[in-house]
Amino acid sequence: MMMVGILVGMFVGLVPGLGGLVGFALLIPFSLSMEPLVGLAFLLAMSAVTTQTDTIPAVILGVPGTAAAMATSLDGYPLAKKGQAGRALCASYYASIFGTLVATALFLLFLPILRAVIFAFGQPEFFMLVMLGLILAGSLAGNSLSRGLIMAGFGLLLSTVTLETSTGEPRFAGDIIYLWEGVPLLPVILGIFAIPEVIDLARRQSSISKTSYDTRVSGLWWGLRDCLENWWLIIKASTLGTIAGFIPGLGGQVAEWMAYGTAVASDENPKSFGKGNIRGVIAPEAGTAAQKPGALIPTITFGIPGNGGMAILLGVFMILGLRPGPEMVTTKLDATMMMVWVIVVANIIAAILALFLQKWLILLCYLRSTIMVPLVLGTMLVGATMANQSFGDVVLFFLFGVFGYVFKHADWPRVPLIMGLIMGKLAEQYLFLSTNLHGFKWLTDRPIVWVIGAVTIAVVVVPAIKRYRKANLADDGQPANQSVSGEDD
Amino acid sequence: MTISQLVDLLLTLFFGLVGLAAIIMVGDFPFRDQLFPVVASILIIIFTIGSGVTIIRNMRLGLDNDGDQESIRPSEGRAGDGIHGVQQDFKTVRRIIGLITLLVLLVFLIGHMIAIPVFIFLYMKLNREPLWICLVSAGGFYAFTRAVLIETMNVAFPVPYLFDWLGL
Repeated sequence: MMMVGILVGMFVGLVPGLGGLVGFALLIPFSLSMEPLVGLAFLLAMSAVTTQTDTIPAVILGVPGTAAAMATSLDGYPLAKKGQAGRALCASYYASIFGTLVATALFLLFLPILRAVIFAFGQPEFFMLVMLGLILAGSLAGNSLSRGLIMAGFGLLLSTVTLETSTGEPRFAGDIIYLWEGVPLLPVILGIFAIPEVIDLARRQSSISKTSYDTRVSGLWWGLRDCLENWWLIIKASTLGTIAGFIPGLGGQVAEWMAYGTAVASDENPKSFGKGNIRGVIAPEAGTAAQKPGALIPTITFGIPGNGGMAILLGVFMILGLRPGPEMVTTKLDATMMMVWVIVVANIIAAILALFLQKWLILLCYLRSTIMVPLVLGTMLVGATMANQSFGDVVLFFLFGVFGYVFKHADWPRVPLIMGLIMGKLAEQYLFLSTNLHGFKWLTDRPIVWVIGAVTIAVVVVPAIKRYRKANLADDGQPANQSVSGEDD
Repeated sequence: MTISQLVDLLLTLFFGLVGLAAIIMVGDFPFRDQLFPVVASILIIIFTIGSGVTIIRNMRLGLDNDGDQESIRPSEGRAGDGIHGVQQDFKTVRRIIGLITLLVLLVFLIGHMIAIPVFIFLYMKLNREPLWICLVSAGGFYAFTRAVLIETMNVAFPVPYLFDWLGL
């Protein structure tokens, strides 16, 4: 099943306009009928390798397969034009593998610290942490703090739609029996992420790439040598990628640009970047690859997903009966380690496959949108219905698809909404247990709660003050800069 | 007021009203059941007020909603498209959403197993794909769904309304 996941991941990474979230959308329905760990391996393998193959169109055609390959194309494409496509691609595959390995090593290194932190936490700390994660994601995803936080709040509110067991009264569900078990995750995720992508794919109304390409791909050893010579850059880029993955809301795009920035800043000849500097390929690839294991850490330990893909994965966790928290680093440590190693092994297998098949894989970039759109849409509609096997799924899929399209183009981030929907149930449970066990004293008696609370307030207040200052500068006639944001997996 | 400001204002208003309605609706629930929805609603209301104030302030100052000088957001149209390009884009999007609506209605009426292959065939044919590609894609999708989902995974799709009415 892992191999199927790898192949699907390679496909969605390769075809510009798809990407990891669409990959999740396509595979989740199938994973639900599998053994929990097999299902997770299937999804993780898919998610891990999208950043391997998205480099192929980025280097050969100058068209990034996903948003996370934009920086790679800056130097990869000029290298391809110099006839060094093979060198750039091979360097990117090796950088991805090394990036994943560095992130795994960091994970193992910090595991004892993580354990200690988790055991110091009770229900109130977990509640505050969930809220911090959500607010962090809401404030970092997209260009507007308030829009992100409104979406996170709306997600939380959606998670409270249910039939209350204590009173037997439906809460926000009215007479719609379909909603009595809560808003189902699958049709919402599929609708909100996949339909907008499909509409945009159809809107382009042309083959995904019209560029011709050079089929001469060679330089396996040259790429490896480049990586070995730049080992320190790989470690720096991977560490930054792991940190970017760990912080909810940042995502692969930020990891990639942070890594690219490091490469430029540490180079003797910064002007060579953008003209075909191999370090401009190695750093972003190592950074994005390391971001995935990095994002897995808060997801499995604290239940705070590091990015959109991990938010979906957390939802699948819960559907499959796994619960993030202390268990994942104690009694279920084997499951955690399995997930980490799946990412590593999937990256190695995908790199080997890509090395041998890239000449043929590139042909997939020429699939017309008129073929892709109905097939992807049909598969997603089937997938959306598989959770509850009800027409309610179809309605939700459609409604959230339309909303998702509006949100995407109005620049209202969708990831915080999904994170709110997924984390809302956990948060409500933690809040209920906290107040039940400690009354409202948990707000005043627990120092860790204060610390997390202070960080949460800072996350909201500091950017608001910065924005206010920026607006004042704009009032004085000075142009304001746009912030970097990324809503990707 | 630009289209993006209008959309932002409408969405802000919508979410604000949702938050307000949620607080009113959970008023009769016991404390434990209303605590969390009230927390979430307050979060929404506070930030919709913040967002609303920012939008109105930016409108007055002639800035876009991100606090920058008014410009078309990248997602609203491609550079150099001009008004004709944006109108053309809008028309295309409307057509695609119309097609998705048709697919959903077809699914309700004749079920997933027939509606989706029919949609695949029609969509490809309308976009001038060769007949063999349309047939292979629609047939392939049907075969895959039947073999993998129905026969292997025993997925039971809901009974379509037409079949229900005809007593099939």
